Amino acid sequence: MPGAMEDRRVIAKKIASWFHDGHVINLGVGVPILVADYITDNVVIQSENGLLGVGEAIGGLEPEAPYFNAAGATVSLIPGASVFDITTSFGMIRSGRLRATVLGCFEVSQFGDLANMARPGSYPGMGGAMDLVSGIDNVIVATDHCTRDGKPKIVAACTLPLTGVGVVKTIVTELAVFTVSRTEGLTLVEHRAGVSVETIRAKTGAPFRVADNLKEM
Amino acid sequence: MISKRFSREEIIAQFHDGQTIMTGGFSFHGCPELLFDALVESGARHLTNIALDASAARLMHLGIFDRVIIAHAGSVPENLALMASGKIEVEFCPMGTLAERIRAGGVGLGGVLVKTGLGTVAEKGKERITFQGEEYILESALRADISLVRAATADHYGNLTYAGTARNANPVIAMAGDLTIVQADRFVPLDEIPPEHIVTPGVFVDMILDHETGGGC
Repeated sequence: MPGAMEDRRVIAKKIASWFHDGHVINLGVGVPILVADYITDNVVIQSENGLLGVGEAIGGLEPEAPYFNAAGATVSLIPGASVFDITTSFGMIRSGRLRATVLGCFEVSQFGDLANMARPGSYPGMGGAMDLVSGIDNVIVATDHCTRDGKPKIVAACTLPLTGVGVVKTIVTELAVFTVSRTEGLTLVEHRAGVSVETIRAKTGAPFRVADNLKEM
Repeated sequence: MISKRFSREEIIAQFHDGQTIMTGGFSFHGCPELLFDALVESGARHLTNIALDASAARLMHLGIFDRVIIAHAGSVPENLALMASGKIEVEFCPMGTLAERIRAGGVGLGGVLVKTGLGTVAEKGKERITFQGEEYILESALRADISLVRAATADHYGNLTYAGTARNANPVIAMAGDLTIVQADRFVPLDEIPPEHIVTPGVFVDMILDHETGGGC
């Protein structure tokens, strides 16, 4: 059942469990934004349009509301939040102030190449995604394991235009958690309860090693 | 101190065919909509638009831009079709890099060195530079004939503050225009804005639209 909301919440909960007091993170649209529902109180969400300390999404497109996130949705702010211009925003991204960025993908390769900005025949531009993957050390991909028509999103080599080369450190799907090495490729470190390594191999378009201490998600 | 308030007619007279126009705004938030209207009314054509995204999308549909330099075209199908058809020439630039190119143009620098986009389409046609042992893309500074800015508050001298995330690229765009024109939500006497709260010093501002701020804006 690719894309089921319950599966996506499994992904979001897993990723949220890695962040602690004081960590600053940036969340992309799609599955990544669900991580916000599970983080602890003292994790701070940055939005690249110029917000540090994003609270809850409180509405849709209201042009005169004071605070928006990068996806254009009205948001509240947490106490201690700040608002700033776009150069300050990407300045904190490029200079290593963020603990992690969580992004979706169309394809991610075994060596951490990320393609998340263009489907075949449609290229709306890279937005801030290239800056995020270039400037933030810990790039986490949160994605359905396969496309709607069952094709692997984790591939040997990407065919779509790249957002970044060798940038992804971790991949989390509803079936598995992989660590990614730019030189060594994929290692399966966690699997969903009841999902065998063979099932994961069948749905993954690239080879991977299995960690000695493989755990359940 | 001189007043920089000008009538709508005086502002319309500034626009001419072939100009490069920078516009503030992100996800349709913080756009100088009244100045967009003035630009349309001027009848100027064959313009280049520099902006973070397609927040000036309604102008794109009118065919007044030959070229746009943006980070993301949004998801408006008509925009994507216009770009795909070649009726509008598009240069996509990573958002953080675009912001720094604009800032560089505004503060008297020739360009900036960035790591963002190394090995991707963002590097195409650009020079790669090794500096102090690190690889960078050399990105050129950007300036505009006219910058259109949305502010929350302006005084006679053109000192500006911004509201919430409507700030986005407006402060750097205000610095990068040969002629910078401002739409402010509120017009205040000199000395009403505490000097240390001014975000854009008036030296960067040339004209402020004289309009009724009692309602609707």
